[in-house]
Amino acid sequence: MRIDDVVRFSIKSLSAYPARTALILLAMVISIASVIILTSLGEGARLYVTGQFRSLGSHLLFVLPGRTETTGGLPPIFGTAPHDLTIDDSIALAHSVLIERTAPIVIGAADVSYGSKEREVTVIGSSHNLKSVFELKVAKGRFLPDDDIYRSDRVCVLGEKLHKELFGHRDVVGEWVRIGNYRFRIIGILAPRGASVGIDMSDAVMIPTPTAQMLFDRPALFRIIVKAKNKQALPRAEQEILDTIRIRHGGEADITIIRQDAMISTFDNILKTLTWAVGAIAAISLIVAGILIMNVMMVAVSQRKSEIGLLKALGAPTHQVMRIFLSEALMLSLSGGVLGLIFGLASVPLINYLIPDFVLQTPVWSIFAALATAIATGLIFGSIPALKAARLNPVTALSGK
Amino acid sequence: MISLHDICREFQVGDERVRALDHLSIQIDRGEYMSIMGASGSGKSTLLNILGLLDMPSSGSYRFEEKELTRLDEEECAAFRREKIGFIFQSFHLIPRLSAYGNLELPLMLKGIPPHERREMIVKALGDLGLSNRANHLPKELSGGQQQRVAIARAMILKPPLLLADEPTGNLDTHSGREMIEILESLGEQGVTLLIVTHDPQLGRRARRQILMRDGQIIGDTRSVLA
Repeated sequence: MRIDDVVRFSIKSLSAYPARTALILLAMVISIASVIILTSLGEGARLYVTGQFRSLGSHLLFVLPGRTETTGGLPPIFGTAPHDLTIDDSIALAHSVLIERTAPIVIGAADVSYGSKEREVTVIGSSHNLKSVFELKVAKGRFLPDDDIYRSDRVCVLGEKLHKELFGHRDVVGEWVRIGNYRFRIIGILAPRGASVGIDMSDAVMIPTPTAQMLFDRPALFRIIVKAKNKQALPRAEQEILDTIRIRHGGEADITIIRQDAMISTFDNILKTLTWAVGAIAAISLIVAGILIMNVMMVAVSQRKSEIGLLKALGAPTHQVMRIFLSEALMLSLSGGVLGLIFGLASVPLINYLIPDFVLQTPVWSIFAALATAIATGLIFGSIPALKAARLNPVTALSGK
Repeated sequence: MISLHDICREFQVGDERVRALDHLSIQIDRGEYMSIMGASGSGKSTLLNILGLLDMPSSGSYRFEEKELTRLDEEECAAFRREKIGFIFQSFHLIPRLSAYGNLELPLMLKGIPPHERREMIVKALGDLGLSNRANHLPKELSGGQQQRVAIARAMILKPPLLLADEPTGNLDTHSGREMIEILESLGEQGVTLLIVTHDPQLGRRARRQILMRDGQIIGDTRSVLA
């Protein structure tokens, strides 16, 4: 029997039971569409998060005090080290030709109050360089002064969200605010930007590094952020940082360097896995649709017993009967798959339109995966009824019993 | 053409073994017109099924044109049915969702005849049986007699040498039944070997050779003197 004949025969059989065919198609459409939508969601999340990391700035290295070996297992996020990282270390690192600039970071929490309003916020002690390293923009006033990095001025720059919560929309540059037990003059307010992973700059207050060290009574830096000249310079810059610190810290490079691109790829991998996982969960609904196909095909085989008997009497061999029924299952799953694909792909832009903050992205592999699983569903769940049909004894099949 | 020798066919019914054919032997020549009669359970349908290779004997030998058929595998049996045998059933066995044309197309599709060659064959087969204006009718839109004529056209479209009919008039009124017999007999005159299983003595007696069966054995084999 020719392929086109098998297909035509299957179409006629399927269209003989329109309601039943439509219901199975619906099940397939929902399954495939949910695979597409959920993987688009996962891929959207991945691009969003890695995009956020990239927005921190490019070619960054984070220098943390201590090493896994000296802190005893855990990564040295709040590591203790034989030698503290200092502002001098930060300046020394900036001498390298591979490094564009460095910014020292001291972090703590303190109460910030204005009038009767008070709340605890993240206080970041840093230098003027932080602005270019994190690609921050100032909405009003100016950023931290860049004259003398050792001067402990009582000045501060407010994050955009913090400013709004304490003062509303009022221009407060030049006014005074209380941080901890000290009064600071507000010299600038950051421009809003999307939330960034790590430190939320919009809900923080920035003050000069020595002032923060005094405020928290902590001489050590929390970390140094290094901006390399370019991407190619990153590995050599990393080595040079180790060398410089080794010289400055008495022969021991007691630091850990985290590369921004390594962080991005870690998150990238996590979210890729997540996308696969949600796709796989959606694929479970395909199994349900597959069982539905199998059930309907089983019913069809019993209903069409005498037809199967006739086909055999007319000289259709077992594999031919099998092919006819398998092709029906396959056509159900494949057309459901294609419709589901269209439906899924159409609803992604719709969701993006309705929820503009979060952009869904359909990964190309999920389109192929969805179609492949649709075909596999038809083949796997169609083969059992097809085999049942093919193995019918022609005499009993003809009698319809 | 056909030689059955010492054929037995046993079925397992519950705990019992039932012998539907009991050491049956028969020779059938090319072009014979033969009826098989007998009460229900006499084994006449089983004999027909074995002749049509829809069923296999438990023991014995079945030779068709000198070829031993009992050793054929499933695939070869199907090919044999396709090439050599036309079946006509009491309940017509037309596929309800296919038109008369579509039903006639079925054996041609199974044989792999290309679509452009089918048309001519189908049109001729329908014309031969006076169904030219019924090509696009579904079986339910046809009378019983017309349905059975479509079934005969389907059985004969590939011109098999052997035509097996199981109660071909069983579901028809007297008039259509007589019409059916005339069609079958005219096929017989064209050289087709014709075997009709029937309850109807009038129909049975028209055949030139009449087989009477009981308990899986042939108890009568008479040839009409008129022939």
